[in-house]
Amino acid sequence: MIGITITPSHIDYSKIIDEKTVDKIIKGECVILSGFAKELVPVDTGQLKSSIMWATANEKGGLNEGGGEPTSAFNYIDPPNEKETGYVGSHLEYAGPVEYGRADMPQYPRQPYLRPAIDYSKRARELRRGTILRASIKAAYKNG
Amino acid sequence: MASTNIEQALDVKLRAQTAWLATLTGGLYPYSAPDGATEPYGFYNVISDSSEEGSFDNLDTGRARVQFDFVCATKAHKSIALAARKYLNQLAGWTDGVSVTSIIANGVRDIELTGNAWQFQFDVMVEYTRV
Repeated sequence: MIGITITPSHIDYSKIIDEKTVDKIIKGECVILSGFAKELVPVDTGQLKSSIMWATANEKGGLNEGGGEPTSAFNYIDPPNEKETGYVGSHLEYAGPVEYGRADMPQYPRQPYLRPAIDYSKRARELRRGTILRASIKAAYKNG
Repeated sequence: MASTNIEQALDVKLRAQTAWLATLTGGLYPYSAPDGATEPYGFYNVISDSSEEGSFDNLDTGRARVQFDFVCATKAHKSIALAARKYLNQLAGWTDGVSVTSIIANGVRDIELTGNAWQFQFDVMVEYTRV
């Protein structure tokens, strides 16, 4: 099992954006991050790739999307309880060992996929900063 | 000779800590330890390194995540990982082929391995410029 929680603290200008817009941005971040992770994950049967999913308080997706051997519905990750929160990860037991590596599990050599996805999506978020800033200013004027 | 990449620079800096290196009797290795390495030993490799030319005025700049692993016979040997983390956290402003702009190491993950051994892992996020 492995995952990352995305909160408004990851989003620039989240304090001046209304809750609905923050939710939308967080969902977008989740979709992008899970997409990067699915691209980077090592594939044998594809089960690990299939297991990567995202969830917000209201929506979830990604499980068994993108090809590969389908994984059980038991591997759905629970939606976060709080609003304005997203989660991206996998519930498979070996998801963590593949990401971090374990000296006693040579059958799962370390092949990181989630942390590079986090780093690349952070970079992509920086490039999208202008779009987010425009949405924030628009929302601030609307609310003010 | 000056380092040519970030993992080499971090390696040089760690090996300069001779008292610490003496406690790592099994050795420090790039990427992974050889078969049969004796505990305690360590290894490291770059997890990601996005280039940042667009953000830093076309300087040859990188933002790397480097994972360090220490495999030890006892939990008490976590001190080896903690000491390495401490040294690496002090590298901001240091130059040796690459100039470290900022560096931060996250918390150490403890993994209890089968066969009464422990693995301690942490990531280092480092922003640097090649000089």
